Amino acid sequence: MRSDRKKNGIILPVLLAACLLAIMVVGGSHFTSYLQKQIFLERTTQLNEITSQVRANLSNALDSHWNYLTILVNMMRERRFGSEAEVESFIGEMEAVLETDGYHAMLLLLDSRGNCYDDHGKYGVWTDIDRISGGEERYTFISDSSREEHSYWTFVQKLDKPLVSGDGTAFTHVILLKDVETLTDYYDSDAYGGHNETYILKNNGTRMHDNIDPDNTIQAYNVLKVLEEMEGQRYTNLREMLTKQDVISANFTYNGTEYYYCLVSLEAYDTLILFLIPAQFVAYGTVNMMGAVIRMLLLLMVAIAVLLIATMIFFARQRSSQRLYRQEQENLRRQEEMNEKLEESNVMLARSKETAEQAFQIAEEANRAKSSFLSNMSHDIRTPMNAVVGFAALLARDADKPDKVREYTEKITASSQHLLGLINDILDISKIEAGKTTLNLTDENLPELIEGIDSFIRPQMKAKRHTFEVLKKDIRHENVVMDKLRLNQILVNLLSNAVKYTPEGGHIVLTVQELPQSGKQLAHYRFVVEDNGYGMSEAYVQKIFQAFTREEDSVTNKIQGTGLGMAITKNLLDLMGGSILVKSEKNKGSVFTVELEFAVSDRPADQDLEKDNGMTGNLAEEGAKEKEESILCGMHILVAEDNEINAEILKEFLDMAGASCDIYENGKLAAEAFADSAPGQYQLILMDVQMPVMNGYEATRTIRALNHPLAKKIPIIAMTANAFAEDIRDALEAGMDGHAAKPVDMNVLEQTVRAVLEREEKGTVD
Amino acid sequence: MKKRTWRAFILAGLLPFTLLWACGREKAGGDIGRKAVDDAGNRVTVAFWSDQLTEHYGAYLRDCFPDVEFEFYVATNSTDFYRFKEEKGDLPDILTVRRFALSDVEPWRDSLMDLSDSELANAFHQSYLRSYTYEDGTVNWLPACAEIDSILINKTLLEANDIPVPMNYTEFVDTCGKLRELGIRPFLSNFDADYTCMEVLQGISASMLTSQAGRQWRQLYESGQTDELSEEVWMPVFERMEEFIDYTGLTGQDLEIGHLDVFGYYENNEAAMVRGTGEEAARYSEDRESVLMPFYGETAEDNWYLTYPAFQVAASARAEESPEREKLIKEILTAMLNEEGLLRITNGKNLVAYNKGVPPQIPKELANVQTAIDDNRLYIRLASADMFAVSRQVVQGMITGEYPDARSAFDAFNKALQESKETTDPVIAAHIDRDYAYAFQPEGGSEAASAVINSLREAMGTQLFVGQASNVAGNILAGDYTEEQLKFLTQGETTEILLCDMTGEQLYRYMEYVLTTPGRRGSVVNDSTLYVSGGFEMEVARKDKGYALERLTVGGEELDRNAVFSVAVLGSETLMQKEALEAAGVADYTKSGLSFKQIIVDRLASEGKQLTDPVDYITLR
Repeated sequence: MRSDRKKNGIILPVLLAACLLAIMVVGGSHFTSYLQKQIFLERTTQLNEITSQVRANLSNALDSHWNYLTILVNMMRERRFGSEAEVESFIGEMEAVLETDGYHAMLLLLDSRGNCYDDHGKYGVWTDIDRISGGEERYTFISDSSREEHSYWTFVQKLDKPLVSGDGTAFTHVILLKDVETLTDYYDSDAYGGHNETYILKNNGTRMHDNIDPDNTIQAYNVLKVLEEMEGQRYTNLREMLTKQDVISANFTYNGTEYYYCLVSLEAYDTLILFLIPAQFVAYGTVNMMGAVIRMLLLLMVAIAVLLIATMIFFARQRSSQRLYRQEQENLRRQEEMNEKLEESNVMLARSKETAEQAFQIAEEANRAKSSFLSNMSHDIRTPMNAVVGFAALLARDADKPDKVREYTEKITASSQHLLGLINDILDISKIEAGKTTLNLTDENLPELIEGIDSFIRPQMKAKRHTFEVLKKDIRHENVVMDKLRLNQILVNLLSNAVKYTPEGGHIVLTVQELPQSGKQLAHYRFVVEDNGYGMSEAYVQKIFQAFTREEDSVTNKIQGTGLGMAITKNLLDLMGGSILVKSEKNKGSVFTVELEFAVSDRPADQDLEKDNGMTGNLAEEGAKEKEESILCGMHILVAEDNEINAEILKEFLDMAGASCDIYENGKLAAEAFADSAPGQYQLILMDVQMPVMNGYEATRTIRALNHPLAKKIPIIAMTANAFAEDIRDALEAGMDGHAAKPVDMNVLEQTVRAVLEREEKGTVD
Repeated sequence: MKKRTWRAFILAGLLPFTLLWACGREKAGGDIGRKAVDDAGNRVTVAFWSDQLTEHYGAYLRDCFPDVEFEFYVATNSTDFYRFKEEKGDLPDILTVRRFALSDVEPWRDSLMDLSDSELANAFHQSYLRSYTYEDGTVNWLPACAEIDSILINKTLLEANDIPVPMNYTEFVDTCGKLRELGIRPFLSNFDADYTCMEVLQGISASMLTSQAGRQWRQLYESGQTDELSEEVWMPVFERMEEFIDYTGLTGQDLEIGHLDVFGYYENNEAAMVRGTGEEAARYSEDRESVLMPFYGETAEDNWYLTYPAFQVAASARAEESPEREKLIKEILTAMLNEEGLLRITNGKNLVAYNKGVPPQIPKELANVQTAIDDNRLYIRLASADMFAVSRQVVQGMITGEYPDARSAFDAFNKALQESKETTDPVIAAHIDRDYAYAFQPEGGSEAASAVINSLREAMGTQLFVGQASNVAGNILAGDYTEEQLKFLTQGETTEILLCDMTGEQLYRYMEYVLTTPGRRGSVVNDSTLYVSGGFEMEVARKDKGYALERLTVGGEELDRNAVFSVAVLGSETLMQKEALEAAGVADYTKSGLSFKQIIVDRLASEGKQLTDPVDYITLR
């Protein structure tokens, strides 16, 4: 579209220019042609005039010679010649009268036999005798035949009556010869300064005489034929033309020179006069003037052409400028667009940079957090370790002092328990953060879970003389699908913190409330742990869920804690799709509100399994019974343990509990030992998991696969450092009956053994 | 040497193509030869009015234009010949003719080149050029130098008999009487020839024919305004002829005397006066004093030499189709008409030129001619074609007595003249079935010449026949022919047939002589003038100068040098063949009374035969 417009824009001025140029060219050509025609007309007219004048001059000259001859003939009529001598004398007299010598003329007489007489007498037959034998009275021509070797205009008059001399000679013709050269003046025109050539021709176009100027343009015998064949000649049959018009004037080119000629007929003398002249000498003044006009015209045309070109250039440039302006505008627009895009890009880059910086800050923060975490972890691990190492050293020093030994042992135990808890938490949070924690969902009974927690935590409440209330509100769905262990862990964490961070005699309330359902299959619960303890600063509340963070103040610093509990709680809640809200006020207490949704279960929970599956929270309650008598007492136990120290400790612990054991350093040996044992030789197998040659899971499967009568029945309890829920599940799947995590806690072990044996008794194990 | 070698190469290169082309044309049966000549580019055909031009003039042209391949042939000396050629579309490039009248050539003038605007025409005196100028200014023909033709007198013979050389008509009559008394033929000429009859008739009355009345009648006649003789002018002419026959003692038997015979009488002093030319005057002044005297009038002032151009020359307008060709032809014409060329025409004996800048060259034998030139007493013969024929008829009739007086002769002349103007339907005498190309081919020779020579051999019944190719007047084309046209196929005025027996060896010597002897009437000047053999073949080599005979064969077999063959030779006995036969060792030969031209005419017309098939008779290397 734009291209078409551009084309249209160019075409119009070009068309106009072309039209103007065409008009100039056509007009100029027409005008030049007109001028040339005028020049031609002027030249031919001038030539016609001059040639006509020449013709008149020549005609007059010839006529006058005829007059002379007529006078002579009249005079002869009266004469009688007695002899040849008288003839000579007469001719001499007449020549004197006519002054022929002065005019380069001669008189001749012819006799009837063609003999010729002049003033010197007879001299043979006249050469041109044949030319006057046509029976005419008069002849006029140019003769080359004279003895004088000149060309003569020849005027021949036949006597109407021959003159007979005394000797009988009959004179028949009187001839007047006139040198051609002397008549040249009549047809040479001064007007052309002698540049013209004059040809006297016979009617057939051939030359009339031999003696022609060697400089003449046309030397040929047939002059008219040559003239007709000249380049640029417009008449190809001049003789025919002469029958139609009196005068012919035209031009031709010969050897690159333009000539003009004029051809006229002198009919009375059967003669043609051809006037020839180079064009440059004809109508010189007029041609010059016209030349000047043409030059002026040419100059004018050149000027107009220059103006036209300049105008076109101007328009072209203007158009070009406009085009350039439009182009610049377009460029500017594009540039602006580009700038905008660049700015956007810059903003994006800035944002990216900011994001990157934020990411970097986050990374740095994370790094710092990790450093801080490591630093905190180091500190928190070293603190109980310091107590263990320190009291172990004091124990060695004061081994002989039983009180000291007891005191130190208790402190070492306490520090060890703290350290164990710390390690468990660290491992827990590490696993949660690594995304390796999975929920172990089972059908559970919520009131029972609450009761279990109540049982677990109430002794601690009591120990600090706290009042502890458990409130249940609107519980419509008791059986739900949940990871009981994790919910237990969350609520125990919150309650433990409430116990720890509430001054003695405080008031702690656990409220369990079922909220309205968001879906038919989901039960929505709110768990609120409220205390009237120390409370937290607002700043700390902001980072309470970060690992290893604890309110730093003189009171809380004395309270033992890993700083990981809330972080684990938050992570577990996130994993379970729940939320936690913290409200706290310094010295007034804190309120932790947890909301969770569980799928409603249509099956009642297996309460026994629930109890047996490591609910450590219930273990405290069971601990009272074990003090009375170890269940391990009297048992012979097959132990698979590769670590000698652990094996020795376990042997000592079992020994302390009144049990004996055979220890094998890998699963294979243990399985072989069991295979080789007599039925009832072993009552229990304690199986480490990670061992060389054959691990605990494999050894268990081997044992269960033996043909030993008790292969399927003998209780096998995992006793391993692999203490996570997954490890427990793996152990059960391998065929084991229980799980006791290392380090070996004899109470835990005894409780586990008791639970297994009780299940066995009830027939649940099989 | 080098130039000739190159030319030989070029010709050798061109010839195979020419031959192939010619073969193709022959089969097509079209206009053979002519186009081949045109296409050759440098090949120029020149028709000579007489074989007398070949020996010097032809050689001169050959030398002037070494790159031009001239094709010479001898034509019948008549403008009718060229009219015939023109009708056949077979005009030669250059035409020459002695018998000439502008009115005779006017009907086909457009076939000729107009020379009026050329430098060539410009070189001529106006007074002569006028006779060749048409009313519209066209000039086709230009005259070569003047031939002087009058009474050749054996002055030595007259003086031996105390008879003075006559100076006027009366003295001439007296002289004739005295000579007759002495038993010497006072005047002889070959009255068997038309030109002799015409020239003698006009010559002895030149003073009458140049009177005012005579000139006036002539102008009327030549311009076609009258076709009958003026009684005022011509009755005295016939009266003078009647007297002339009477006092010279001419009889009907004298009509048997040919041109060569006349000069035999003259050489033998059996005739004191003959009609002769300036060249003959010079030729017969070697062993005697011969003078060329004018035709006599009453007084010395009335004595006139009869004159005419040695020949007229023209060129075919075909040359105007190519500027280069036109230029070449004009250059050749210039060479023909310049002083060098003119001297070759007269064999350097005398020269009276018509063109400017060439002064007359008059030998002592022609001393009187100079006076006549000065006094302008040169009578130009009235030489229209009909004038020749009618003059022969009437003069011979006067000699035989058929026309016993001037009146009957005058009437007969007038009648015959008018009859000649009447047009009659041509009578087809013969038909020639095929074309015969004249162009010479190195492998085979000239078809036309071979056909004619073989026909002659058949007619003469000899084993072998030999003659010059240029005796055949160019191409022989298929078509109908009148008897007159059949005569145009060959030349044949002075050519005779000589019969003899020759051994093979003699034939070798004869052929070697004719091939290598220059400057004779019958000399070979180029390929087109080579001899043609009938009954045997020749192998000839081209040399730096001329030709050399290498081998003769009969039917391809080596010619037996010892065998004797009956041979016929075509040529002029006196001008070359006698010497040629002598050189061959053949002294015994006879002259056939048959005209070779007539043999060909009779074969085609009366006998109704075709020409004998041509054969490849020559190999030119």
